[in-house]
Amino acid sequence: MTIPAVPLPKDGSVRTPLDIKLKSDWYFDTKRRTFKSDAGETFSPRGTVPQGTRIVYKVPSAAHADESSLNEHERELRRYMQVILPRGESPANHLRAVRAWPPVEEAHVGPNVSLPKQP
Amino acid sequence: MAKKRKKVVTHTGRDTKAGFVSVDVEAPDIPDYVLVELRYESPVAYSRARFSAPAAAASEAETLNNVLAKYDIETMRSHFGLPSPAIKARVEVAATLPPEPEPKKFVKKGMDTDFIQSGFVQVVPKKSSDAPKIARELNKKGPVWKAFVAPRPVPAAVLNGSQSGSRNFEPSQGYLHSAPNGIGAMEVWSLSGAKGSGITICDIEGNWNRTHEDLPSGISLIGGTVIDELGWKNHGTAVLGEMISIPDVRGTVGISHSAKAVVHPAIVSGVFNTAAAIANATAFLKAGDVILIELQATGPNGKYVAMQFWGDIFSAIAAATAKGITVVEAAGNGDENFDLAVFNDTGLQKDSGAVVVGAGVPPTNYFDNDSSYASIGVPRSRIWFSNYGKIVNVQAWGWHVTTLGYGDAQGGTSQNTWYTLRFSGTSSASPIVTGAVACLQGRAKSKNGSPMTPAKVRNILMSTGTPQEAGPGVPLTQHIGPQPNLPKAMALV
Repeated sequence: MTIPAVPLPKDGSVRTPLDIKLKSDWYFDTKRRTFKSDAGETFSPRGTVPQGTRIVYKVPSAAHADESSLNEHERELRRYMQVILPRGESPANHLRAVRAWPPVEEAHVGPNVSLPKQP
Repeated sequence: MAKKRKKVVTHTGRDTKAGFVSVDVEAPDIPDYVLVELRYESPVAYSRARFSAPAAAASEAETLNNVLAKYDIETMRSHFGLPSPAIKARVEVAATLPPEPEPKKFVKKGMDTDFIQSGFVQVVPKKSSDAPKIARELNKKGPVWKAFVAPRPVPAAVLNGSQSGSRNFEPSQGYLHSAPNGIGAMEVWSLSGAKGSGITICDIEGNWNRTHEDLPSGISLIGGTVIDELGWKNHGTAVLGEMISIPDVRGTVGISHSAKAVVHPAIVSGVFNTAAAIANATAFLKAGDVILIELQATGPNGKYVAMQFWGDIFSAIAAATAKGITVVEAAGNGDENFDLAVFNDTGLQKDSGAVVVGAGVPPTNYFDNDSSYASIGVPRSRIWFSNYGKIVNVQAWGWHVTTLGYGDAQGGTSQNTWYTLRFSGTSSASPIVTGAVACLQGRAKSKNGSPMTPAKVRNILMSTGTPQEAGPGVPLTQHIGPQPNLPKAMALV
């Protein structure tokens, strides 16, 4: 049975990202737009996703904080990022490419969010 | 000569004849009446003076008339103002119906809207004090589905004598009332701090009408981008109304109306990022404050699930609770069982520290949105759409909650005067619990000088709440937990 909810407006004002979780020994250098590992490996996503794609930490304040000041949950939060594709690009079409990035432990299309209201 | 009407003065913050009111109002001395709902299948009609039935069912009418004979009855009339032929016509249709028929299955047999409405009878006694006795006696009679003293409306009010005001909807806020019906909020407000003083609530969803007449000024948007859509705006407004609407002679009164509220949309950088919203709120708030997550999303079975299913959101919630902030989270309306194997090792089977809230059946409401009028279920049983499972900690009213927004109860050209009687879902349940948390933490700070840990707050809510009930098709194994009972909970602060 379909249960009605309050969906997002269909005007495209809210885009759906790809949500990714980094492997624990990788991080993203936001200045160089390159992933780096503790072992010295690097990976540039350039060319694997459309031009204009933004790759951002989900919680930048945790990502850029001194690790010693964070609790275990905040340290875990540092591993989550979003790949925000240019308007008009379907995230599902790019999921396979992003999953193949060496730093990525898991990736999925961002959740389809709604309000838990009954009509 | 017409008798002069006397005025009845109700008192500040009391459960009155009209229902709960937070401030003094003067109501005219209008007569009480008993609203009787006849069973669909009872072939009983009525006139101004008595019930009647064909010979085969004469005893059914007689049992009702025997009750009326004990009292001085002013009149009886159709609650919906139907004419006498429509009332008489119900007898023929009723005689063909099986016990407790589902209206939509019998439309062709005449079970239409007129028929359904014809079963609602107003019995008006000459003495208002007889009304509860008549209701009590009629409730025991076979032809009656339900009889109760009709609620007394509170008149529209004028604020400061200078501007016309909205109606007072407080009497219909049954969730404020004592257990087992409500959470007993109004019973604890006299305790120092127990209206949520010193507590800030951050509501995370999409949009709000922060200039609504019944909300306090200064509700800050602390980050994110609002979703510019009326449905989202009404939703956020309704949520805030349950928790912090102003106690005065118009509109509603919030459960924790001395608490402060801030809001944060889950949209960050043009996409949903609920984890960021929670993290931003965590940075803004302090220990003892409360975050409310009023969102759901589609899970692996294609049904809505709670947001902590996703790892980043789970971690953000856990980080907030580790800092002493209580997180209240809607379980979602997916009719989903969180204990299924498909959810093993996900946030739906782990403890994030959040208080996860299911939707329970309120004591007096009905499904009435498909032109039928049927009972929604056993009070405090799981409403069919509510998600359930071991991580769902507590429940609250998930149907027809009176609050701000939408405009079905009071509309108008300005959204600032809109009210609803029909806010529903785990959406309506979660702010009730959030308000309860704010009351408890406000009390803890006032009494003990510091707030309780989120774990203690959750334990108190669960251990003192009014237990979940089973209902047809919704056994207790479909766990949504008890409904908060603030008077009992306050004893453990």
